[in-house]
Amino acid sequence: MNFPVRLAFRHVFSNKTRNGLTILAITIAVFLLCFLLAVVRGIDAGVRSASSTRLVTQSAVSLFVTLPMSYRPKIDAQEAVTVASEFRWFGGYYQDPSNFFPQFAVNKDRFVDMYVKDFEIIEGPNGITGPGARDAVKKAFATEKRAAIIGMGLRDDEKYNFQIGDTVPIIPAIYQRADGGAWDYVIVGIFKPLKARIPDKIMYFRSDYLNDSIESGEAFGEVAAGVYYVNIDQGSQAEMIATSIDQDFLNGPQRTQTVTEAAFASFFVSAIGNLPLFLGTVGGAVLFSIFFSVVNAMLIAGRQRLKEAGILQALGFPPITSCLLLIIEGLAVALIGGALGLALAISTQDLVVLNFGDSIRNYEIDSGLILLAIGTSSVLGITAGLCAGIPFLRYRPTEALRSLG
Amino acid sequence: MALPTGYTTRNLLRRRAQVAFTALGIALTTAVLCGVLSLRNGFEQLFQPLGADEVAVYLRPGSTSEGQSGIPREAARIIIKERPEILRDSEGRPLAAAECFLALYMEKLEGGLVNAPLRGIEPASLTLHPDPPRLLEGRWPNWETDEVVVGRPLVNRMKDCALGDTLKLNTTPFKVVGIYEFDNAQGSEIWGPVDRMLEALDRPAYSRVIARMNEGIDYDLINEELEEDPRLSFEISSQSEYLAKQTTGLSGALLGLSVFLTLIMGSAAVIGTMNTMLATVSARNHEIGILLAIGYSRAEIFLSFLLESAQVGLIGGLLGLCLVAPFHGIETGAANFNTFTDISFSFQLSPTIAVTALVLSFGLGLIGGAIPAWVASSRSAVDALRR
Repeated sequence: MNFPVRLAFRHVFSNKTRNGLTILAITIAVFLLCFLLAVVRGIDAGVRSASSTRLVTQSAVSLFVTLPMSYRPKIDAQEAVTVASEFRWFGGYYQDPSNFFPQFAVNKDRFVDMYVKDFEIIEGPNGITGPGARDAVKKAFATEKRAAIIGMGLRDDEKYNFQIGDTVPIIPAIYQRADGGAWDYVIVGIFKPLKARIPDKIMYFRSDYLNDSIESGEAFGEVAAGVYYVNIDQGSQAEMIATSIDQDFLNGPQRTQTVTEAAFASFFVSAIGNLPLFLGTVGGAVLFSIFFSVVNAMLIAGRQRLKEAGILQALGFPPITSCLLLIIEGLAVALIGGALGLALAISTQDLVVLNFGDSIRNYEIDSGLILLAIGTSSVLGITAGLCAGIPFLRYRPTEALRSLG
Repeated sequence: MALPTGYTTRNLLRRRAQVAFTALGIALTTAVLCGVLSLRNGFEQLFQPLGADEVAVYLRPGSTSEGQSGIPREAARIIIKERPEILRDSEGRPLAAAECFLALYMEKLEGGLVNAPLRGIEPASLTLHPDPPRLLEGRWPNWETDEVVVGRPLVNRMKDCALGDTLKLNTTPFKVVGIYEFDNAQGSEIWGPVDRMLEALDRPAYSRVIARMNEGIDYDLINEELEEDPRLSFEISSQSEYLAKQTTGLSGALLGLSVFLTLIMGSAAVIGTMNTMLATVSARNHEIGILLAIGYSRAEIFLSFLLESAQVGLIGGLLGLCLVAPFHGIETGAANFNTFTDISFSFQLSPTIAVTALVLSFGLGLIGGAIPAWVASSRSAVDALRR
């Protein structure tokens, strides 16, 4: 006898309230699953986008210990090092502490060349755009002592709205000025990040502006480089160069530890705590609770189908038919819910990026997540259908027919 | 005529599998909420130590944490020697200490680097707190030698932190000579003599001065005086005020996460409850007809189903608490967002959290049961009996 396809179809719509509610529950679960996984993958994307031809030389003791300026010539002298620049965390804010974005002090002559693959300069002095912009910005950065290059997010966000030529006051949290005021920066270039690792709300300015101000007594702190970013030749042995740099500074004044840019980036992720495990546990709990509610719904459906199963068997269908009908119903409900959840996740993607983009970086519902969501809901539906359907294999038609349904 | 409550309870026992599945959904929601709130509670407790109002912290103006602050040595000595608001012990010595603070790269036992807090201390650091740190094992460091003591939670989390181990700071080895316990945010740090540490780390300045205050001092007044003194560039705040500023990041993130997860998991749990209750109502159509026929009012039937659902919720809540209870006291660590250093804290389930969770689970049951109860109570007696 043919499989009753139309009956299977009807079942899905037979109890609209129950299946509707179950679909809603799955929608929520799939949405949450996509959200949590997208957060974790966004963090990974930042680490993965790190350059394979860049090393970071930092203090071996602490992230907060700065290396002296005198280290650069020694790093430059290493074989296979193409360009090195100091990188120093400034940690200031614009107008209010809540308007926080990272600022780094970098080398005035080297930085733009060093980041050639990391960002695309989209706007330079006097409104210059296009291919000439990079050179114009490089020149302006080397000439104007207070020059700063910013990511496009600081131009586009209404809170900041920094434009080329603007003088922007940044209030220091670490390097206080003797006059108690803010540091002024002149915007000379705006870039678009080409790597997921680089946020679009970030500012780079000249390390000599900071160091000279400290030296002349206009500001407090110590003259220093921070860490060094070191570009190396394509295809050279990163590990060997790193060891060789560290050897140079083994006896101080500050011991160094040179790591790949990827290792440096992943340290920041792991230092926060075991986020993937935490979010994974939460995601697992959500999936479990939804699984229970879907199984429950299918069990209810199964109980109400007992009489029908008896009729089907009396008509000559094998017991497996009733079981299959429940599995198909479970699968259909789970897939509809999963599709709706995915649709919700995809349609709210821009909203999440707009509102939480500064803390949830690189948030994206990609094809991998879509497949995973569909796979998870299929497994969920089939398992729930099985839980409810397997008892049907044991029933005899008379038994089933006798039930109240 | 009131419905006997035993009736609803017996109904639940009749449909054990369904009730169990529904309650489990609510239990997991409750457990996740409790877990995240307990973590937050454990973290926050560390920043509300006993007697924090009697202790004050001097930082460089404008810095929000000691990691950002820097204090020249001479200025710190002037503060400790001269400031009248600082309490003195019976021998006239000021209860004040200059300290340095640095987040140190440390390897976890399970692998991976973290920023562990390192603090250079002075003898007064051990005595100035109203609830002072206690020595668990070994001894306190000698003040002229390269020795450290470590906070108890670090021993089981970090490499080189057991008694007798050697910790290398830059190029200088420091010996671990003791393990201390301190019930606050400073409980998971590494402590050593401040001047030895500054030398080893090649750092010029202290990070803060911490001192026990005389009673009834006015912080605003002191800050005015400090501002007028040309030798000093300091800002004073009570320790409780200072500590409150250190928790905003992580604490806020955990609270936000718990609300978000509760909303989402809660709505899924409500849907599950609704499904179960709707099935219960339709299976008991006949019964509802009888109840109506013998004179029970619609309100009573409504209440009886609502009560049944709320009971399921409560069972789920209790189950959720059982699921999360084994985590109580388990220690973990995370970066404090405000200082970007690792801090060890534990799950701290509190009565408030437990009550919150039970109220939530009861509420989820009520919300999930409202529509099915309304469906049940709006049946007509004749229709219901005919089925």
